[in-house]
Amino acid sequence: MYGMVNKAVEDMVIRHHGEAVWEQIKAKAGVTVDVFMSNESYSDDITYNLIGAASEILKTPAEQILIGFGEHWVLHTATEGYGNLMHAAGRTLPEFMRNLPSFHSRVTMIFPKLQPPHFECTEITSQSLKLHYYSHRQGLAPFVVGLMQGLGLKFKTPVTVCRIAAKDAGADHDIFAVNWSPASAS
Amino acid sequence: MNPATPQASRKIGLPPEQFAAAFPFHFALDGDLKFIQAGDTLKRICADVQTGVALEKIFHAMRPRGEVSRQWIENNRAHFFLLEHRKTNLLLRGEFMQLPEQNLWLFLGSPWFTDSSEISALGLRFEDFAIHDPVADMLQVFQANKIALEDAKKLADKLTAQRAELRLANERLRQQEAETNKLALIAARTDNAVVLTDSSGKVVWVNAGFTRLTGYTMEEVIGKTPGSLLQGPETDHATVQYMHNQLSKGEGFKAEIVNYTKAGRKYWLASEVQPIRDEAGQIVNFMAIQSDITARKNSENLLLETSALQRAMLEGAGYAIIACDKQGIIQLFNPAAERMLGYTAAEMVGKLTPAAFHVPEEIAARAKELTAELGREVPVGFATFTAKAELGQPDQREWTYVRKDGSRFPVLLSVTTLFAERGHLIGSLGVASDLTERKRDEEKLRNTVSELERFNRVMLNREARVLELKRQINQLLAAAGRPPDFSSVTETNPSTKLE
Repeated sequence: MYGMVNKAVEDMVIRHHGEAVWEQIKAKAGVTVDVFMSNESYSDDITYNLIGAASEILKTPAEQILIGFGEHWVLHTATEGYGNLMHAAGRTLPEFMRNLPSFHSRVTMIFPKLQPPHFECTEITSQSLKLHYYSHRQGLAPFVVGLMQGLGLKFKTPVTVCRIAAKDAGADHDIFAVNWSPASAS
Repeated sequence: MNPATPQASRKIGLPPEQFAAAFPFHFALDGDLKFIQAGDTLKRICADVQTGVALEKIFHAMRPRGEVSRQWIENNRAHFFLLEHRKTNLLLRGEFMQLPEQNLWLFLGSPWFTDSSEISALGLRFEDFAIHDPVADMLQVFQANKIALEDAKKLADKLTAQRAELRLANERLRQQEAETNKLALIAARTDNAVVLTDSSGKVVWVNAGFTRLTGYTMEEVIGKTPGSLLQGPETDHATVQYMHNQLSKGEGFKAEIVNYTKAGRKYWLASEVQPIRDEAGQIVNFMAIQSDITARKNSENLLLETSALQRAMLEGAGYAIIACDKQGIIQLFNPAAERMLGYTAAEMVGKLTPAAFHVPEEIAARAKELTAELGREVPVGFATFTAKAELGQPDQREWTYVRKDGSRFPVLLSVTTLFAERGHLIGSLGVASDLTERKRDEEKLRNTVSELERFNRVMLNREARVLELKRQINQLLAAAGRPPDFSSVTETNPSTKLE
């Protein structure tokens, strides 16, 4: 996994619970990395272990942590790291959603070793779209829900996200129905 | 593109809309290098790009260096061009292509950014770029590199901080090591026995002092508890229990206990035991520093015996024993003194001087006497009693003591001064015996002698009168011409005459 993901988990935990809790989580997860390099590739186990340890120590279900993490990713990690590019990618939620697949495509082009997820938007209307999420990783669908919710907050556009196809239930890939209010998104 | 090496085999013309979409930052110049067309996005960002305006007025030549002119363009067609928009500082990177058939110059290019903030500052969006244009990709690369640099800086800062901490830790470690070496040397060389045990009390190390004291070598004691080797029949069980309890609680203690050497010799041991804890506060060792205090214990016992003897002497003596400090304040008032004077020790000790039971006139008279005898002024008071004794001379004389009830009695008081080890005066000791009985006996004796003398005198007088009578009878008989009846009484025998 992209080091930026682990860095974001670290940032989220420290922001809400402090450095000491992060050290506890790291210790529980058996992670000894001092500084995650954003563009380096790390074993997926590190991320899964961190999420698992955070769930245990913060006494919060992993799904809830992943949703919160998705929101944190958009509102802090991506905004602080790629704010200008996000701004250039769209001023509204639907505009941004149209550019979302390109972001991940460029990651693939720039860092061939990384295996970022792939997104596609279909059935785009003025107030909804279907978001197709392709990833070889398991269990991160709640993270995508958090990402959409975070984007809703970023663009001040209340969104509802509903998973209508689940890879872990046998579907080819996860599909989310994303709906928003047309007035606020325009 | 190098015009000398055309790559395409067919002439492909684009309709104006498609051309504009494919090259949103293009512009075309006439033979005088004046704008005749520009892409929509360029016109939006650089509003002064208008038909008929000269290129050099709007753009400045950054690369290649030179003045904007046809010659400059023609000379550098093998290179890319970098133009700076004079008003916005927007940089355009691209190439000039000459279209001779239409007598125009075409510039195909895109903005050049080095930071993603520039795209926002110019109000550009990804939609403003042609899809084939890698500017957005490049910006993402720039941004990723920027983040990587920030990560590297963060890592470097952290490493620098860690190195500083390490240096400090090393320094502390070095100091600790020096201290430890010093302590180890002390522990090894000290005359005291030093024992290090694990947390359960089993020996892990002893010093040479331990071996000297107990006779056990380190190999013989490792893994054993010191008590199992050293305690014996006279070891006090209560002390052993106390030591055991303290160790169980993980607390240090000091104890004195009888131990036995390997050869069976009994000795008194003073032991100070302290727990040693790790950084987490867990006890990892106990350290005991022990010393042989047998000599001290023996001295203490001797002192106790001596004290008991002294106490018995003081309490059982028939003499009043009264000790004073150098100011004369009574420090000791034995039971005989209590009986003699009617005061309790509690009333006298630390409170009064012997003046309380002396006759003041006697003290004044003695002071005067001593002044004459010693040739210096002897003050009236406590000094009167010690003046002679201080000179090392015996001072024993009779005094009159006054009981608490006011009655008086004679005593024979012997005063000795008390000197500390370094020879300075610390007080005086007075031993007084009651002379009442002796005086009474002396008086009785005197009376008896006097009576006997009187009787003797009476007897002698009576005999003298008998002799006179005998002499007178002899004289009468002689006058009558008769021989004397008492031939032993004659005029010629004056030795028989009594006075």
